[in-house]
Amino acid sequence: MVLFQISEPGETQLQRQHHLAVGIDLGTTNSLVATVRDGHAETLVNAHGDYHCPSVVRYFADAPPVVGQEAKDAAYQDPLNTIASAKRLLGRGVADIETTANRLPYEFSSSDCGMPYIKTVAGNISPVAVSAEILKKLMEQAEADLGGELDGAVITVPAYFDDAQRQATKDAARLAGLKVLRLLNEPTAAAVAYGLDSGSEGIHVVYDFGGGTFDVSILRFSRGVFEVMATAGDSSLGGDDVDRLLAEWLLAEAGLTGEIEHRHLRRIIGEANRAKEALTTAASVQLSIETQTGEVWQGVLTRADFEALIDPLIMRTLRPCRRALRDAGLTTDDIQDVVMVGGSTRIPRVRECVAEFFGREPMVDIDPDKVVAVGAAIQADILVGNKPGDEMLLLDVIPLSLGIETMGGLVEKLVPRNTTIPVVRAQEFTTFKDGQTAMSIHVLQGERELVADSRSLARFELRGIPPMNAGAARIRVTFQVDADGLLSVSARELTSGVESSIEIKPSYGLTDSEVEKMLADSLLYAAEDVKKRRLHEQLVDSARLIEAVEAALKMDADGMLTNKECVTIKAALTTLKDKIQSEDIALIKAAHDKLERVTSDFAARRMNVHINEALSGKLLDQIID
Amino acid sequence: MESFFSKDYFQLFNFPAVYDIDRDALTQRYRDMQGLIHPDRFVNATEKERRMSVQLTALINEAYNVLKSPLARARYLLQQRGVDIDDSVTSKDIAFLTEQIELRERLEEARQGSNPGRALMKLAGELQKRLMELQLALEDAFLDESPDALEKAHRLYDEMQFISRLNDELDEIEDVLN
Repeated sequence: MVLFQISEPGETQLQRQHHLAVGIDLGTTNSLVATVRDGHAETLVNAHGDYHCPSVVRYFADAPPVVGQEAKDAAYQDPLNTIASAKRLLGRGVADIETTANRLPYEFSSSDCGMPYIKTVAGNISPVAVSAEILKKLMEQAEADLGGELDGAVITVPAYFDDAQRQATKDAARLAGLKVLRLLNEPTAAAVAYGLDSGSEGIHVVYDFGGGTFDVSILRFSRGVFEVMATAGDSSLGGDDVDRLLAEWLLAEAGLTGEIEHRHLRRIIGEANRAKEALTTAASVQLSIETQTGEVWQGVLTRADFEALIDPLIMRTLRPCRRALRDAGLTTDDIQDVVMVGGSTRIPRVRECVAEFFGREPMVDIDPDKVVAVGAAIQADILVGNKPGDEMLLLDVIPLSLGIETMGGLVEKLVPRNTTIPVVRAQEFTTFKDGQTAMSIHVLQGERELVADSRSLARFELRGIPPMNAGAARIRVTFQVDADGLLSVSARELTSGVESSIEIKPSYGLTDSEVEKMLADSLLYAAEDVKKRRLHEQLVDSARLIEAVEAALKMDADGMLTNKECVTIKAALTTLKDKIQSEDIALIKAAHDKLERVTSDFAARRMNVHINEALSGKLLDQIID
Repeated sequence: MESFFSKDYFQLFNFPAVYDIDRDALTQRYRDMQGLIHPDRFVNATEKERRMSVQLTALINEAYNVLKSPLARARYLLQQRGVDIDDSVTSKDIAFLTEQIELRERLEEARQGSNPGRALMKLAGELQKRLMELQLALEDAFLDESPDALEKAHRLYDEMQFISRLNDELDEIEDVLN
């Protein structure tokens, strides 16, 4: 196998132990964790035998928060301290959520980082911290089940999440002490779960209508490669909206007006949710709610009335379907099958509308609640290195265009939506005034032409430009979107060769130092635990590095390294192995960085030689045959 | 590593630098290359290798995007052959200018007509047909070795770019209508 020796030489793979890796579906309503055990992907159950963990966290003044069913059960008694649907707030700004927040039964406070914090008895809590609690709970559950600390996780995100929302998800994982192997788009994960089951080649649509988000992705599966052709969606449309619409209907029918107490509203939304679920099978449902005067209102909702009520929401999901088809350059005739994902696809009317739109019955073979976690687990197993020789590959896209503010409040798009990631794009800018030494760059995401209509991701201050006449400086700004769909930016002044310093301040999110501080102050783990977690993370990283370097030396030391280089690398390797025993995180980190540094040139040489060899036409032809 | 970035996109894919490209073979080669260099293959590698993998994959993605698109491929080939493409310069070709005005008017009429959905669909069909014709004409022009062939290809490219943009605008109008 010419292919695999480059990154994963077979000999060391055999000696390598089985790595513990999980897939986590961090949902708006429920979250799940899955793993591959004995070659089979399965969702893990908690002590009560439940595979889904309600994405609800309840905070207390003087005790650690509780997560899951227990918290959800308390939502009626303690609505202000019980946080559900935090995913809707991830990576959002205060202004963004004004419309949503009015309908969410919490109290908010603004913060320096632009994110809305939720007021609780335990203090002001960021949505990132709420998500971290959920991740931590799932991680602990998995570790108890699998009998060891995790080497990493694949966490799924809605395909339509923007950069700030993705970054917030990754920050939550960091807070929870979870190593993220990859952020994976939910529809892509679902396709993986289905694709490997049926092994079917062709073009698939994944219609993912969850608790808080809607995504549609069109993927081509061919010879082990999943290629996302287009994705579209609405990151603030989900089953919650169905509940809310029903709750509003209930309020109107029961004649409730004006200000409604949080606790009361919770109960009404709960009743709406119950009615929705009952109507999946029943033709009508009995409803009863308490009015403000304490009387009990009773009524009946038929399925036909329910469907008429929610049809506008379902229609809102078809518009992204149309756009995704168009972006992929396809019509519904090209589609082989439609996969249904997410709890909201249990609603019969949703299935009907999707069947009508695509002209075929959608597939519901795998439990729509589990399919995303299962796909994520399969990908995690591959990424962590448990399946050497597996050639499955995912090629995903960026969901929303990235651009920069130009003169007149307009957006210049640098990376259009549905571009395959990773992607690197550069753009040159110049100065506007004589002697200008700094420049402000505003990064935006979205499809609209005006800055005012787009999502502000970050503002960059570029400093240290040598003073020149206006228009003489040439500043090259490079956008890089990695395989997680996350953006990073670098800049250089070209005429002088000066690397300009860049200051990144995410518009709605936490800076690295804020995450570090939260981690330090966190209620998530006691100080000892934080230390233990960090040491564990460092050990996992270092073990990985040692494996990679040993494999590389075995394969390529002869011919690619001088004796002197070889001795230097081996010495650094021995030092790191030695320091690992010390349990001193600073010492291990220093030895780790040293080994990275001394192998840097070797790594570059290997990449160059191997890829050149492999990509030369002759070898490629052998591979194709 | 440097040697990759100094290669032109055709060399990178080990393809002859021609306009009439075998799309299926290109896609297959692209996937094979991705199978080797994608960051998912380097999750357990050193940081340097991971970084290189991202950059190389981005390069391959960019090259594939250019080569697979009839419009971007034409532009790239023209630039490779020393043609300076300046988008800010307006064409002096009267026939082309007339066509631009006519098509713009038709898009406006379709949008404001009594049945915009249908009118737009009809116009979209015509634009698609024209794009196909232009692609075939470009294939010929790039094969032609006569002295004015490049200039001809450049003119065809300009027209293709105009029609593609108009098509994008039409898509956006349809999007709003839906």
